Amino acid sequence: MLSPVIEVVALTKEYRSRVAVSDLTVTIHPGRVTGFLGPNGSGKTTTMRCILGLTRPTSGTTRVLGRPYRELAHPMRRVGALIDPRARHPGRTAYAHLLALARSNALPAHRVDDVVELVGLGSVAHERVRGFSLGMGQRLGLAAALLGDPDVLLLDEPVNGLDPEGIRWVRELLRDLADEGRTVLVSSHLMSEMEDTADHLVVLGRGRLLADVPMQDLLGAHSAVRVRSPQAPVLAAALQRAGATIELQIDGSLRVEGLDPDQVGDVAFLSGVRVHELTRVTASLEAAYLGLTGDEVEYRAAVP
Amino acid sequence: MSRGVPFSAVLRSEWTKLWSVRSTGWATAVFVLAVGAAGALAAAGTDTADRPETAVQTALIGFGVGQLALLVVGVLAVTAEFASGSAVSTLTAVPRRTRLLLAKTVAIAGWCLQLGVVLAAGCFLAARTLTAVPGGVAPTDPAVLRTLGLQIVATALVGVLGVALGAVLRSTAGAVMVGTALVLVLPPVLALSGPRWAERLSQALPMLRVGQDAFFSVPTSWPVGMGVVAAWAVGAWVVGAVLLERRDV
Repeated sequence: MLSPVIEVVALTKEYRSRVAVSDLTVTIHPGRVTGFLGPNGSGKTTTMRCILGLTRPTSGTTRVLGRPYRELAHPMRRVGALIDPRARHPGRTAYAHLLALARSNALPAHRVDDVVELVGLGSVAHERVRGFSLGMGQRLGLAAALLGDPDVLLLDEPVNGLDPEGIRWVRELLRDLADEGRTVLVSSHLMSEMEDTADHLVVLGRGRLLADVPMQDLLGAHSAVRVRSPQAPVLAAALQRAGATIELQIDGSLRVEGLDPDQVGDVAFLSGVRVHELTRVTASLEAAYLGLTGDEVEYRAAVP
Repeated sequence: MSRGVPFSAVLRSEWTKLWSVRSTGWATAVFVLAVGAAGALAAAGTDTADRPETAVQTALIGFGVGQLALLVVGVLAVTAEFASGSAVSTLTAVPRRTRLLLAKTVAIAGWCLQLGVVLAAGCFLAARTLTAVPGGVAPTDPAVLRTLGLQIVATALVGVLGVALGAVLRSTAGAVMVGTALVLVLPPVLALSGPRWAERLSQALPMLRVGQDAFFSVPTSWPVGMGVVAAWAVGAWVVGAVLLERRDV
């Protein structure tokens, strides 16, 4: 595996009344999209702000490309970041906002035109951003992140407020960037946003690391087999003897965990049980994610 | 790899920012009108003066209030970043914060200097043409040049003070209020209040019409007055830079 591009070591950030991030150690690798998941308030944004040197950790260190972010010689050429879609002066035009950013890193002015077209803001580039919607703000934020054609991208909730076409565009963009060998860290509180995008997941809950796993592993860990048989009780007993966990579903089928479909078929054959359906059930990522974070939600609606 | 982004790039970025918001244009217009109109009126209303520098000082009267416009723009250069949240973009692009503050300060001071030079020249011409002085008001007179020079430098320093207060307080209202109190309100109030200690304190405040007894303040010699203004601007700037480095965005 390639060496890590973002290193977070024993990061802790405490505010007066609460701990935002607690002893977090994680590394982010290039060439893949890493999904940074967790409920609201789980510390994703705080972690990203610490990586970018915007927030000073209480303890612990963060490094990007081998050094603290503040010591990068050409920050925008190395790292593109979208932390807050409202991070711009409302009285400035989109073009002037991007031009000021480009100049601050000695990037050529034509990059502004390039990224404005890339994110689809060409028609409103010379309007003041005061009137921009959340989705347009996100596009402008993505334009700023892409200005320096960076090796590393840190995007905090980039699809929040985007229309479906925009969401698909961001997914494809992230996919392409990762395939070019860049490092992409993208946060979200919605698993569904990650399903088609991320290769790897880092899951936080209440500021602590809950999981750091390849997407496939998380899917595999929560997959099951659905089997329907007119002799369900006999089959269930046989499967339990084979070591599976059985759950009777409301439609009379069995949900089998712990065996793969081949093994379930073999067990049925050996027991002489007729089988009418045998399907692999891929756990929805949503369910897998809720299983991980269920106890770690900071803000939960009261159950009446 | 090269040694990094040159300072001139950061400076150009801040210059772009300064001129891409409307408030800068408005403040420039207010300053030019206030200082220009006050200068013309004061010079026209003063038929004669004993000495050329007195005639010029009278014509520069508008700088006293006009400089508040520059103070506000200096403050906004920093506070607007925090109020709008654009500080996140700015400090991600330029993570070396003292360098960023320096670039902002140079941009603002440059803008103030330009305005100061143009308006001081205008006020000089008004005094020369509208006020009768024995021997005339010559542009080569050292006393006249010193008067103009002091006003121009003080104009740049008020911009620096604005940036510094903005960095310290991060609040537009707070920084403008403190700045106005320091340069315009407190010096005459303390000077007029009577006690000896209040007069001395008044002399230690950044009075923006250096070495002159306008606005009822207690006069000081020009080197002392300039020293006080510079000390306030630089002192506040250093505190602002330290706080900017330390605080979270």
